Amino acid sequence: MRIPRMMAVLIVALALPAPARAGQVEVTSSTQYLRFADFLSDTTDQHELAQYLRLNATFGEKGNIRVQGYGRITGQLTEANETSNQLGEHLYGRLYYLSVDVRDLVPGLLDLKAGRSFVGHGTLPAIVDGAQVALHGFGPAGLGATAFAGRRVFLDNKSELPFDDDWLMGASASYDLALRSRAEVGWAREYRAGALSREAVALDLTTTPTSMVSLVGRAQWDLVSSRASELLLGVKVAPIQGLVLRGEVFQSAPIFDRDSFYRYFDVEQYLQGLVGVEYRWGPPLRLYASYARERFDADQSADVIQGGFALRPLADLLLDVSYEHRSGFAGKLGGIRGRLAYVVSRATLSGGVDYDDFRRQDSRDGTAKKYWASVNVDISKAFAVVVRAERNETFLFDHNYQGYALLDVHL
Amino acid sequence: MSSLRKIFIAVAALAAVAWAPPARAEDHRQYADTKPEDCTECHRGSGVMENHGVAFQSDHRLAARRTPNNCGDCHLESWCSDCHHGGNLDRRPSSSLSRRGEAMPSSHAADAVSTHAIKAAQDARSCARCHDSGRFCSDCHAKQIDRNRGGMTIKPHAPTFLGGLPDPTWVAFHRGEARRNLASCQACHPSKSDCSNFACHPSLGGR
Repeated sequence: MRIPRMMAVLIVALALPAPARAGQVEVTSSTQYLRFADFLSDTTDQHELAQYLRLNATFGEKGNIRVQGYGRITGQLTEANETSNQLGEHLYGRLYYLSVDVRDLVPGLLDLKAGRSFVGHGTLPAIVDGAQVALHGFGPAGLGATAFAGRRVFLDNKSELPFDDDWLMGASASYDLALRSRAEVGWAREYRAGALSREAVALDLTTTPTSMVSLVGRAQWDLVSSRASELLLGVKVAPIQGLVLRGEVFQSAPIFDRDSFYRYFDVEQYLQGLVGVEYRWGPPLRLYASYARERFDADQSADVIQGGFALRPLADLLLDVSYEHRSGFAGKLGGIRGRLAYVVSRATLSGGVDYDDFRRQDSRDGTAKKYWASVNVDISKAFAVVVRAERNETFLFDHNYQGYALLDVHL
Repeated sequence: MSSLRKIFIAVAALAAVAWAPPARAEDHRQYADTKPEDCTECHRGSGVMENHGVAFQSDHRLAARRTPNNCGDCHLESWCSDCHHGGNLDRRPSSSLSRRGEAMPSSHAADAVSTHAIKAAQDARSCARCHDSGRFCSDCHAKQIDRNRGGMTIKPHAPTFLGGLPDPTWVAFHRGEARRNLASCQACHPSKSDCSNFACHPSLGGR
């Protein structure tokens, strides 16, 4: 279905009189003016108006029918060097999702979701226009299965890309086990322009035998190139209240479409080992730190150190500071980010600074700075006004400004 | 033993430990307005590990892949769309706007245009979770090449020749770069014709 038609369906759904909707209906509207900088357009300072609409409605005696929709229309007020799929002159539309979800369509056995929706299972996550079914309550307790099929949707550049005869289908089966353990097997296949483009299978395993230990494993196999595309093994240990230690080994390989020239190259895999610690002392304090070692081909590697804290000295005051340092293959990056938020009556005042020093391998380097401030005023339960401003100092601009002003309405 | 095999064995061992009857996630809809830090009030000693911590930004994809999962008990789908696809309804105050006016998640540092070359090397697959790598990268890179090729300021890598044949030093460099991060090549050279112009890789299939 094309975007204008789907947007029309969303608008009609919102316009239905309340008695026809019954159940619980939530509608959110956000009208926004945005200003931003586009270094690839002749007019660097870009201005835009955007209208968002979101619908969330539940029906049925048990609230088992849910209709969800989310979309936006943007109007570009300035010229940009883009060739997007337009609804009209400088007018772009994007429908994120619009679906009906029926739990227990066949009581105790089958759930159905139809329309446009994000599908996260089945190994190739994507947005599709299609249908998903979930089976449960059959066979041994804890056994479940899902299947989906539909037209793949690519959201890009304010709109969505024209349909390229791209189809996606998949299935998964899961089994809940003892010791809060679970196994799930997934499969997905994608066709582009009528030909097989991607196909993969995956196995996910998780177990939390006690509240102190959790293990996760994931393996994904790319059937097109006949190789492992993703392997993950992770462990989390919580020896005392509030303290979590984690370790992780992750390996991945780039995946290309079946018709791509790149898939013929037997490239090395990326390998990452990570250890981290997080400590939470009630709401007032959270501390964390991690170290990751990344390994690339030909003895190239990189080290990444991250750390930070979130401090809430008063119930209405939050200070969040994070630090990241990476050095090795591809370049060096060191950055610190700080954020302060304070709630005064109906207003939330926020502000922050980002400071990133970067040195790309054999190319550009510099120091990027970002300063921002935001005010969010909840005028009433139904209305909120937000104003945000940001100043950037980057490699491309000595300085530029961006931000937005908006009105949210919750019905 | 290769690291690949070690990880497969570890995953299989995990499967063996876990194999036995069930336990299911509870419906959390009634707790939708609860702050994550208050979850421990119920979960302490319940056998469920704390989540929604700092690492959850990278870990949440594993939870979201589960079917069924209980993400929807507290979050609408727009919570996902706004981070993954540039929406600005469930916004984070610290999020900047991209050059196209789309809200960007916090994984995009200040001057994301300059730093993305470093960040993308870490795990290019994480970029592909929101961006279709074949189109998103080449669209912007092609525009920049058309507009100002020199402004790309990337490592010089045009082929050099000795006596009409590719310079062996350049060949070794080219091979090494491609093996370390082949996906980045695709950003500017999306199709085979970019490489076969000078008769390299003549026998390989694909477009």
